Amino acid sequence: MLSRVDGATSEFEIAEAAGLDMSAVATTLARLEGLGAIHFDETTVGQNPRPPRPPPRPSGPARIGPIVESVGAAEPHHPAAALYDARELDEAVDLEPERKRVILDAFYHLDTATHYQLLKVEPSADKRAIKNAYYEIVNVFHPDRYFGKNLGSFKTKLERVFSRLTDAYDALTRSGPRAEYDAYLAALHKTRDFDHRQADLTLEAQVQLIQRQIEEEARAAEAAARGQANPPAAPEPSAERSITPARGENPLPASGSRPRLQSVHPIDAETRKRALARKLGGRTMSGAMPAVTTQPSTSVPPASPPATRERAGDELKRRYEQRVTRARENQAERYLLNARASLASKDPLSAVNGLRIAAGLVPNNLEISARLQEAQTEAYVLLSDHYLAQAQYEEREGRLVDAARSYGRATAGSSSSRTFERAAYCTLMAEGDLRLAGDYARKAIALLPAGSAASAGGAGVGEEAQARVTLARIYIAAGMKQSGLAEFERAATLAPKDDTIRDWIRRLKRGEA
Amino acid sequence: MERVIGIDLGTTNSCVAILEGDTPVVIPNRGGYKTTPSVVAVTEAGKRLVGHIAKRQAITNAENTVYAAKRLIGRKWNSPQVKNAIMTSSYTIVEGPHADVRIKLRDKTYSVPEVSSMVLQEMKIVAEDYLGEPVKKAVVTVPAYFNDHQRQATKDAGAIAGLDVIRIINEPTAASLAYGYGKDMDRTVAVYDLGGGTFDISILEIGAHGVFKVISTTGDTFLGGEDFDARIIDWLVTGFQDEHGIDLRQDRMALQRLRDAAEKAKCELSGVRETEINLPFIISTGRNEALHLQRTLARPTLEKLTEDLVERTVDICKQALTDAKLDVSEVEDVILVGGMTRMPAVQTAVTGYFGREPNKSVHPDEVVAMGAAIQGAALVQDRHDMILLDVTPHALGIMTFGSYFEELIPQNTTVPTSRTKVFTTSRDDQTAVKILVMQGESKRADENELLGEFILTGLRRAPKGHVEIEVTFEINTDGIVSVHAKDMENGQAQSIQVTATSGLTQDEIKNMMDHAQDYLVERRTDEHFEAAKQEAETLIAEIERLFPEIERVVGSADFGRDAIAKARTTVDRTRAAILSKDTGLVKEQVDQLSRTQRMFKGVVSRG
Repeated sequence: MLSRVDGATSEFEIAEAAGLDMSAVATTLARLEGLGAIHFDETTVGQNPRPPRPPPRPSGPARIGPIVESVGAAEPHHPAAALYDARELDEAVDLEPERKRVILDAFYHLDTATHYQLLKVEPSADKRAIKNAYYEIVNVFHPDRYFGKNLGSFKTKLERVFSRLTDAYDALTRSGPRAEYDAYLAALHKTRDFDHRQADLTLEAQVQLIQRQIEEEARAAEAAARGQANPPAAPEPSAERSITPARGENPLPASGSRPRLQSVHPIDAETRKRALARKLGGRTMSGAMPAVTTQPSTSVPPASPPATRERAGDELKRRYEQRVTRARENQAERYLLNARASLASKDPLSAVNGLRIAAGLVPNNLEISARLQEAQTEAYVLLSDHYLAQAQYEEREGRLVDAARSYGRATAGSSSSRTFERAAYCTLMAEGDLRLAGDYARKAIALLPAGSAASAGGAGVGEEAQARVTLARIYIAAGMKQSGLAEFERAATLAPKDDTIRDWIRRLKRGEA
Repeated sequence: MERVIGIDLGTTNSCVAILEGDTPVVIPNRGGYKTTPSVVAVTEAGKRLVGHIAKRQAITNAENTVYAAKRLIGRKWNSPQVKNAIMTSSYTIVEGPHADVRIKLRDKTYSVPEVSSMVLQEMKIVAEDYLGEPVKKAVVTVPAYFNDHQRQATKDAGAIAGLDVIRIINEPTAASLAYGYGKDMDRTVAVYDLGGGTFDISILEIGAHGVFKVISTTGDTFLGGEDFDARIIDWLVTGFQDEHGIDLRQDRMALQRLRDAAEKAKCELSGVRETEINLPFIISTGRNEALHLQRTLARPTLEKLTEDLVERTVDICKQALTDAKLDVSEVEDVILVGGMTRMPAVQTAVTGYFGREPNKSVHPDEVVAMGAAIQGAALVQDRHDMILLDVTPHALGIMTFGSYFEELIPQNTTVPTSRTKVFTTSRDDQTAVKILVMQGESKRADENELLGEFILTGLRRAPKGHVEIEVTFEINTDGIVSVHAKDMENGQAQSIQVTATSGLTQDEIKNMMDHAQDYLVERRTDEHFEAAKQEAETLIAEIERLFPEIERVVGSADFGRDAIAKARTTVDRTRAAILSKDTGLVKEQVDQLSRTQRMFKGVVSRG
């Protein structure tokens, strides 16, 4: 249950997610608070510790809009239990079990949590608030708190956590580093949001859901047309709650980069519906989206008399398919409409999202494909600067693998030779895909003004030499020594005084490199 | 709960404190003084003297009296500071077996930690006498700018003295603890610590939840009261030479007298405008006539003589603020620590630089020991009311190709901490790399302290610059540095725990501990003997005072004569026992004597 606590989820939602009743949840939360594992925010608890269960939504129209999911906020809150082997809690040390849990949770979040999350402050917190938060939290994580106790492996963990907390504190309490970090986080949020959606299989699930809903709707309409009344299904739980779904909730396997609609694993309709309801709940929609009317569903189409079954079945099937196709096209049309509006208002991120759903519903529509391409390119251009800022920060921090990835993303919307060169260099240094690195390097050279070598002394010369050195090193890393040597020689003509280049050439000629 | 004492092991004076309830209490020594001179001497009879008693006999036993041993602790024989000390010390400094420093006293040589351990042992005894129970654990303070060798040497000194030094903390930080402990405050303070031998400046934040966070610390381990004294001595010696053509430095006794006079004059000039230095018979000439030294030193002269020293401290303060990325106006309080801060010129300079009157609420000589006692209690008792976040005063790194120093953990990094950097090979087909772990601020490796070294082997053969080695430095809460090196390609790894050396081997330390223990037994025996002797002598005096009266009362009665004769025998035997230094025998005689005394008193009162 602890894993569900993220500061945003209400007790009711926890109860629902964990399959417990409200009183059990309340008792457990009170205990956790007593142990210091969690604390209630005054604003959310205090006066109203147990919000009344929201009234059941009256049966009737459900709304489907573009799904704009805020993943950024939810992502770092992994279910803690999944982060480490529960046996680590069994280590025989002089620590209370809850203290162990707190330490392990913090330790295993070190790589993913932001400075703000580590210190448990709002990104808007002022210097004083950050200082106070740090002073409070070091009382838990400074190893001196446990002086003379047997801490086993927890000692190093405490030291690591403390060290990271201090780094966070140092960065956030100095104006220069904080601005730099905030810029990095902003870039990261933008790009991560996008990355996540790009790879997000929940989109696929959403398409499936809409499909399913359309089908149910068609069946219901069919049934209604045949004059057979259906009992209304149980009302859906209200969607007017703010829920931040945990990442682990996604029941779909996270495999493959492109969504494949046909290979989705079946999930039961109820779960799916609830998930959709949750996703839709309380979200802001960009642009006006006409509501789609759905009827309460029935489980199976009603049976027909045996004699007319075959003919009637064919007719039924035809009508049914017509309905479904029409509904799909209608839906896709709406998404497309909305995406156009998003593109017009320079919001390619939302457009991409909507268009991918539309493309999922109507796979062969040329306009949708074209618009999707367009939106994606625009999104990359828009994000290019963010990726670049992020990459530069990562490179400075020595995180080459991340930097290579971010530079790579930045190249998608960039025509800066320098960006390509860094992408190539970082990919090489991070021992990434050499072919990709080579592509970046060649593009970096191609982007420089032609004949920059001729106008010696121009700004492009140094850049071209550097790009060629990078390319040469990529060739050598790939075992292509002759190509490497050739590139080094070209670089040498551009920068004849560079010792490193000369040294490389000398060693290559002697067969040393 | 076991009690932990806090010891300020100073260059000129030491101090011991303990936390009583919530109040740190400085423990006075037997003489009633709250500080004890860090002076150790060996008498002609081979007896060890520590503290005031050692200081008092320094003039007559200059060659065998060690003061300011702290200036030598953890230093290498060939360091400039040791060269300087050899020139100016009245005792003999010799080279030790590990290029370390030893001090010759009478016919024995002592390591510096051993000499310091004698002071620590004295402080331990002071505390034990006060508490009436054995003390085993201590927090000992060192100048913030001490390097790891000096810290380790101080720890070793503690071990030799039979103390488990649970933590070494920095003197200015300790001072800030005593200043801010138990007061819910939130402010940025500067601690200006000018002691007998070292200068430290630390900038700290004292915040909510009892957190004391050091932001920056810097200093000079060879700048302190001793240097101020040296300026006065120079002035006196030069003046004397001009007048008489004789260099007083050649005479160790004269030098010691000059030293005492200089220190005294310096202290006096904090209160008065001028003082007379009067050293009669300072030296005798070849023609068998004695020369006297007599001069008047005025405060402005002293200030002129030491102006550059005070300026140096202000420059170091500027550096500390730059390191802390703070403006001088952001410092909300300035705490003065160390006896030298009583000098008006120092106070004026501090007030001038920080733009505010320094805080006068703490006692400059006692506050450091009090802070150490607070930290000791906070560690062993689950008090949860104070936490100290200190920084590493020196950068840590490794030596790279071309003898450069590449830093991994910068100066002023809050500990515990860890940092990683990737290095490459410097030669083609290099299969092994030597990792030299160094400490210091210089870009040139040889100007920094070497802490340890190890070799990472089994690197794959490749052109230079192609093999990447990941080096990780870690400093844990106890200040222990671990270094881990890994070949990023094949995963070959090697690591060491860097143990700075004090210049002593474990065997040597063990040996010295035994000696210290022997000394303690001997000393305790001496004390018991002294106590018995005093008691016996008091009784003898009493009895002898009564003899005439007894004789008058008993007259010529036989039994009276017998009793008197018997009493005289007892007194004689006691005297013999005292001469033979036999504590047991003296104690026996004390019993006899008290019986005799009681009987005599009874007879006298009846008569």
